[in-house]
Amino acid sequence: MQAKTITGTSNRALEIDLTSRTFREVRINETDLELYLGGKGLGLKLLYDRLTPGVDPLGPDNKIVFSTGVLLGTGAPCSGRFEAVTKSPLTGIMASASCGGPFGMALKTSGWDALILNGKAEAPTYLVINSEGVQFKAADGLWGKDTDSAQDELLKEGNGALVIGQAGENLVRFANIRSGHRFLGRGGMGAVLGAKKIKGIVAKGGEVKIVPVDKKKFVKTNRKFFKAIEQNPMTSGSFRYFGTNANVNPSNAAGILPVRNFTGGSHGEAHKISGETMAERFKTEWDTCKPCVIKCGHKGTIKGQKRHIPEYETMGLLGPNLEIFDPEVISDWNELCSYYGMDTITLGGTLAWAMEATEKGLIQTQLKFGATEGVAEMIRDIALGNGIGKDLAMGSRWASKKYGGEDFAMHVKGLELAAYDPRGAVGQGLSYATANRGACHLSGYVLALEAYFGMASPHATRWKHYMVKYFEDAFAAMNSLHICQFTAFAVQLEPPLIKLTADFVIKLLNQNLSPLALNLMDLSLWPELWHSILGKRYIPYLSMLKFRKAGERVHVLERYMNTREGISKKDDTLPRRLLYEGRKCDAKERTVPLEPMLEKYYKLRGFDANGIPTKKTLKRLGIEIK
Amino acid sequence: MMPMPDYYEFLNYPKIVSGQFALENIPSELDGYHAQKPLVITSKSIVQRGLTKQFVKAFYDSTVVLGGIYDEVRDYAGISQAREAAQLYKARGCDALIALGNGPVVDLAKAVNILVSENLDHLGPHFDGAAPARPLKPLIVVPACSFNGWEATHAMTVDNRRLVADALYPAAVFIDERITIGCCPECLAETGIIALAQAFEAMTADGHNPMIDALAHPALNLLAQHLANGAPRPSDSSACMALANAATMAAAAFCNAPPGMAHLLTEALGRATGIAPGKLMAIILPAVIDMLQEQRTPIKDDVLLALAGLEQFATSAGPDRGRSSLRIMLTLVDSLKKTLPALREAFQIQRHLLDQVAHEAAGNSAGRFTVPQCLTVLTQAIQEPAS
Repeated sequence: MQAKTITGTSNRALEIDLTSRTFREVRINETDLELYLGGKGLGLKLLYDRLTPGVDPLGPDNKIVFSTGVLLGTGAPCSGRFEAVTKSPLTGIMASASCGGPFGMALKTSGWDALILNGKAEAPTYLVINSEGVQFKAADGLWGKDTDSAQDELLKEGNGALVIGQAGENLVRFANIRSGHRFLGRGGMGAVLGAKKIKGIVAKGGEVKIVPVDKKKFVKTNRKFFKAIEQNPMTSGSFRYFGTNANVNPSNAAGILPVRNFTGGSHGEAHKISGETMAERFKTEWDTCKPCVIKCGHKGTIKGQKRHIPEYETMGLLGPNLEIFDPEVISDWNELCSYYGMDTITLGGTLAWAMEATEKGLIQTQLKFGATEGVAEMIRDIALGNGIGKDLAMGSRWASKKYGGEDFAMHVKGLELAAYDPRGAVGQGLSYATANRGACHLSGYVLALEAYFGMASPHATRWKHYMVKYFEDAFAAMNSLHICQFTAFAVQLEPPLIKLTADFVIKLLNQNLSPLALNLMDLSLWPELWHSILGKRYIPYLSMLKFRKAGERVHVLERYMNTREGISKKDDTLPRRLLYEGRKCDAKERTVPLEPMLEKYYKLRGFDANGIPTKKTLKRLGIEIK
Repeated sequence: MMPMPDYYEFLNYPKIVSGQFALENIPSELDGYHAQKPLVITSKSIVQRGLTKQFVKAFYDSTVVLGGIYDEVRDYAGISQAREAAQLYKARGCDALIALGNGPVVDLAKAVNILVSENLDHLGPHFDGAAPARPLKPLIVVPACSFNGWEATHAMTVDNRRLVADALYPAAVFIDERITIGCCPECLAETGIIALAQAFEAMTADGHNPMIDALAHPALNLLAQHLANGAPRPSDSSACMALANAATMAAAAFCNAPPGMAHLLTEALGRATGIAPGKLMAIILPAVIDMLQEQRTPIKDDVLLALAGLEQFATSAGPDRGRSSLRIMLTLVDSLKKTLPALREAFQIQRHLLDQVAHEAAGNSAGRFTVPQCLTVLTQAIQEPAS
């Protein structure tokens, strides 16, 4: 049977009520698509229209939205991603996560741009989605299974699946959702599905073919995109050959690698877990999202098995952060996390807290920095809810409130820090503090300019508020297209104006007149790609400014939704360790001077002094006040 | 007529020294404990306000040598800092501790005291409920602004874990206007409202006794006189002294009585949300009083006597006295509205957390309050007033 062709987007969302086992088609408002672009932005808007503030994230009133972008399914480079948004059981605020697994493509080629889940199933269930709607099927035989075997079962009924493991079923607050070998990692979305008694969702896929409206422009823009990616040394070099662990050595050199629960920023043994070492040791090959031209995902032969190589964040947080430098051991733990379905970043942060709490007599466990004994057992205990594992399954914020050790619980708003220590890149500190989902590195990756490219001074606070806002807006827009964030290296840094300007000149400009330096970066490829797919159906032209404004709108909407859950300035902070404790690896002990940057950031964002978006700001961005 | 219970216990150990030049008496007090080299534990904010300089001046004419000043305490007392301070204590050969500040500073000093007195590296056994096995080193507390009274008692909270042991009572508390002076109206108001709730709940608790009344009564009296006028004026030293004394008395009474609902809910809600106890008390205490009014709970006459004085007490009819005292309590809380406005965050507390908080508070009440009772009060407390 020949697939039906859709030009542009289908503008259809599937809304499912799990309690009543009913579903309906929701037409996506064209204005919403223009304002929020798709992906994360549209997902948030759909959630905003439905979510009542204050609901229990694990209760039937919480919703979870899976949303694809305009680019997915068109063959646009690095567009094989989709987004999920919900209220997080780990943080109690909005969580969004991006994933490169095959579910997104299957959902979109089933003719749906988004999927909304409401309510709670009575018994374990899995959903089968096709272009007609959804079938509810009993998951009795799947409940209790790990993600590998559950996914294998589900894929018999479609091209792409979402699945949770035992961690999600046991409501581990940082359980994730798996699709292929990729994950909707952060914020405990697996627990949200587990609470709704949904073991998995499979989309048939292949029912619809998506073609761009302006094919000529699409092909032309695609070509420019490929060229930029091939020219950029990160996207066509280090990431392609060494994966995201190409970051290990630069992070170590810049003093931003988390060591021993963020008490240090570099370590002499870090090279053992670098991408370069692992490429050689494990004979790595590509294992990527589809479609992808950067190819940062790698697999290799570890202990005689073909395994996905743990990503940088996993390496950093289950490695140096626990004082472990054996990539085989880290890979074992990573495999366990994949098997049970748990976020390795939060797990690493929570284990490091538990090690320090044990050392300080706050809890009694076998865990010890630098020792592997007891870690695998603890991972199992967390996933299965045994012993103290049940408390650690709530994350480091909760555990530290119960047992103490809040001063070394490394989280922001309940979400554990990614593998970058902001004492070596203070703008990243501001970004962690203001990121909507908690200590997220993907909200505004300012550290790349500060610590990797030498384009901004890592310890200066001047203009960092501007850089953080700029990247937050740009990344929110990219996650709404939806395209891989790594394309930013190529799109932003390859245009001639910025490429031909010496790094030290950019650094000087960034330090003294950041708006000028950042505006040298040409973001136009992204909006052009989006516009070529939709044509003039919505707007005559999506300018770079409109694109950035859409990103701003998405970011501020998420912030506004968080403030309705009680978030304010008191939450935009960093762990005490980062604010008050210096590190021995620094010649001069440094902490993150957050307060002055935060004040300027609020002003620039149009928030009041308490960090709440003002009515004027919401109105300017066209966000309806509820 | 004052009812006499068949049996009661009451303990309040520390010597209280309050008034002008109280600080100058610390050296002789230390001498009485045969201590010559105390370690001072304080916070950065106390140093920034110049209070440590004032404090050190009091030692100029004495033979006591300060072993060191540890000023790393901020808004949280944790074992990491306790270990650090204990190391400093040992390295400098100290023989006593002085806590200069409020809440976390005193908590940390108590934790350091256990570590150095018992030669421990962590508080593990004590977190499991074990009381210190041997007498601790002399600890002197010099409270500053935002004093919640607990500092002068046998309780400490370190790493969010509460330890209560008689050995933790400080040897002496020095209330001196040079240090107790308020840093801002908000802090003073928080001190006052917590003291008000403690004194009221201690005096109206089921298990109260004449000793509790003896302390709660003057505490309420001082608060009634100074809270409304004193809180907005942190530079008014006499009001600050009155509030600090009231807080000390209220806490001494309260820690000998079973905890009341306002206290239990504030503590549990504070843990769940991270909002400061004083700010939460400003919305929870009125809701508790409303509940008492609705339920027509009999309130003993003495409360009115303490709050309003003899004249009003004498002119009120017996059955009206309880209701009048509740009205005065509400008026006192209302008087703080400008200084301590109800927080936006407090009204945005996620509804699903209330259940958890109500269960925790009811669970800690030893059966005196039920979950629905706690939930009703909480729901009313966080209901945003119509603007």
